[in-house]
Amino acid sequence: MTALLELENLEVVYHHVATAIQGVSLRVPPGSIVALLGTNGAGKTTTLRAISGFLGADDAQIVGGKVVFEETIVTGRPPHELARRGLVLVPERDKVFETLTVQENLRALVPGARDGRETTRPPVTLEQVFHYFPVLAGRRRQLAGYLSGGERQMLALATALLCRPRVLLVDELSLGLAPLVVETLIALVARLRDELGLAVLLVEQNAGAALAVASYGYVMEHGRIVYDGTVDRLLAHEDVREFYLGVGHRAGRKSYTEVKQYQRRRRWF
Amino acid sequence: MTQVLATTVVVASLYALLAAGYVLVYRATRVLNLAQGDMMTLGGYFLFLVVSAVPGQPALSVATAAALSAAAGFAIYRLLMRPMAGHPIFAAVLVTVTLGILLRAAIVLVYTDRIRHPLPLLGLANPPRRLPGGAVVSTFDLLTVAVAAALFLGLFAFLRLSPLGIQMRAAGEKALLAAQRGINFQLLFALSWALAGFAGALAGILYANNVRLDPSLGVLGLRVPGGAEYYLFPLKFGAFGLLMAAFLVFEPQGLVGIWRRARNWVVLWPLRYRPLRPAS
Repeated sequence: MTALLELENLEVVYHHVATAIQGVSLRVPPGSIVALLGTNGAGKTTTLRAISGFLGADDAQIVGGKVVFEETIVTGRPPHELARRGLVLVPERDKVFETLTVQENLRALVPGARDGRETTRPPVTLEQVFHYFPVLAGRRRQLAGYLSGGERQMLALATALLCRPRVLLVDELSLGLAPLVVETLIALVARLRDELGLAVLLVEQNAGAALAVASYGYVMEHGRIVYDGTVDRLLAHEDVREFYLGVGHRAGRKSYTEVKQYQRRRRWF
Repeated sequence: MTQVLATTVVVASLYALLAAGYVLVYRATRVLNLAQGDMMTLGGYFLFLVVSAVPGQPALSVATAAALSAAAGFAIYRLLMRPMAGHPIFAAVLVTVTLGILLRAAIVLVYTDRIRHPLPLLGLANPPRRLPGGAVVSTFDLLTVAVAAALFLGLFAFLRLSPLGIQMRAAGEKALLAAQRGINFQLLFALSWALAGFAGALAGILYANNVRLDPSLGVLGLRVPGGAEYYLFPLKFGAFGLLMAAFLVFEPQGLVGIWRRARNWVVLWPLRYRPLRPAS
């Protein structure tokens, strides 16, 4: 099956000197959730930003590789163009316009055009969005700055949906949210995939939540993809279990020397 | 007493027209446009330019002058302000200061600093009107109040209700997020400058017809953010000079920043990014 979104050996350099990711390749097939796992600073967010587009003010360059979306090379295109093509990002922070009301947030976007050949793109309406996120309907007239973290995340997902995405890029859905809210949101993402046929690239530190709904996963370390496989394969992998799910084979608390050992082992992951 | 009240409303309306330009640019791009007063002067001179060529056509002249000013605002954003993206806001504000000085100089070069009166060329008169309370104001005074009210109602509706206006406010808050939502924020920023040029032109045209037209009309604009700036007129350039000197020396991105960047560039030169293979 041809992938909807494909990254080939993508390399990003910040400020001309700091290499953030080197040689990242991954594929997102249509109608599937792909998880991208990794610790802080592994390059997950940079990967997503490289897909969704940098601004001149970011001072980042894609120095190698390419991003292929629907069999078109879209490397280095401006963010607004990529969003209209259907590559829509739900960013990690700064994800809603706080000085606008919820209703205005839902209007502050330019949805991708729907011409005749684009039948795969779901025509999302406001009613549909309120159906998925009933909480937002009751808060339409409130300023988005007064929403709670979970509501903000819902609003961000809702506005992203209204952009009519083909591939939804979600950065840290679980960041700073209570486990129960995370569970709800992850279930919602799975529902969106099933009902709207969306492809989702889910960047997560909360590997347990992400792997519960994903079908394929990539593990990033130090700006490289170090391991990938189907979810079953990832769940069976001993290091993934130990470092990302915290269910290692060794029972009980780890001593300090074991943690040092852990860090050394992780480098050779 | 009613005279004082009427005059206050008229003057406030003129300042409101000017302030609309400041607010539009500030809300969208977060830059305080200190050239707004000179863009107002420019609007007045555009009117003068048009009526000199085609006298006796008020509606056509005013429309053309306002359109030219809007185009000038658009061009200013594209040529001067857009390259300032990613730089400190303060640097962009200094660019607008320079722009104001340049605009004024250009106007003096073309039209000299003679006081002009475009009103007779338009073929209009400006008779005094007696208001119900006993106050007397000129016709263009009344027009100023009406135009300011109409512009503010229009802007309110535009920014609150129209999709483009909401997108403009969104882009003003978080440009990156706006771009990620498919909004071409560069275009919207340029549009906000064009609208500011339009509002400035309205103020300039009204003032030029009502009072006079001369290159230092823009000083009116500085009173909006500055308050007492008018009375400190002789000190103004000195103050800007000091401000610029302080900026160069103390601001982190100033001389020190240039030195630091140069040093970093030298230090990091051996570590710079080099592709391992030739680019395909």
